[in-house]
Amino acid sequence: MGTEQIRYSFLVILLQCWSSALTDESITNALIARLRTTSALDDHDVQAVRSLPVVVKHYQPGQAIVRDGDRPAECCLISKGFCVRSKMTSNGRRQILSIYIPGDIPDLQSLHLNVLDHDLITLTECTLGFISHVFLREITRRRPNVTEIFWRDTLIDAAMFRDWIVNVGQRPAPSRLAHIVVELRERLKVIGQVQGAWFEMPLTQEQIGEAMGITPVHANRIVKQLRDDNVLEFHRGSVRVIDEQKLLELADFDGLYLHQRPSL
Amino acid sequence: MPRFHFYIVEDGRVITDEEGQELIERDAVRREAVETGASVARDAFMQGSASQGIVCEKVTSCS
Repeated sequence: MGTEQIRYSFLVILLQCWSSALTDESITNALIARLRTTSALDDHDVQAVRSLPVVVKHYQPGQAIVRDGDRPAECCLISKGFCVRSKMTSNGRRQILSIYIPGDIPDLQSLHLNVLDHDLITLTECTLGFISHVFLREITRRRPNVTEIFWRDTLIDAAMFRDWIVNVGQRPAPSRLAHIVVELRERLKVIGQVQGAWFEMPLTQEQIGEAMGITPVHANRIVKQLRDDNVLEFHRGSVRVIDEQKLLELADFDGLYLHQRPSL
Repeated sequence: MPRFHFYIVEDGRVITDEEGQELIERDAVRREAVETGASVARDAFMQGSASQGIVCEKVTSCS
């Protein structure tokens, strides 16, 4: 081992000790729950992921975590709260591309794509864990199984984008919203955040419009229509399913693209 | 700033817009109404839930 390598390893260990002091195991709980559902994660992998040094920060609603054009040196793990990935057109129209929940690492691709090509914004108050690319590179080189799990994670992310395109491009607006609600519910279930009739969907009518590619006024109409038709009820950033059968018919939902079992 | 509320009328049925939006330019108000009308019409006419639709705006507050 050369002097440079020894120095580098020493630096990594030193940084790990320093950062671990800041890390609470609960930061990675949702991530582990999700990865256990989608991938064949063994106990050594869990231990390796849990030992990643994480710097915890708190964000307010509507704050940019990373922006289009940034060169991030770390990835962000959502521990609490909701975020969206979005992109602006040159005339200032925003398209929301996906919704992120606790346990997600929305900018995992920044490990290999150096310049960010979209914005990542908080919807609610968030507790975020930042993991340096240095440590992520180190873990992916040391543990091939973790590398495969992270790779699979970004592939599932891509599968969700394909579904989002079909949804926004081909379904009528009430179905689009129903589909987004069912997808969110299925993902929240994995991390134990669907208890009782209501679950969180903290998007304003304007943001619902931006997710579905329609104006806020049209989004308002759809929200009212789904309530009048006894399908869904939205209230203060939460949603309640009134009629499961009607919801599933309208949503045209096949959850395969979420690949929520290691065999899928 | 003026707050614009866009009401949708489908076959005489009125869908109100309580939230409204703050818009400054007249062009932005027109664009919002036209885009809303076009996308509502796409859904309503395709599904046959309405045969006529109107989008109108109302200003409620200036601050």
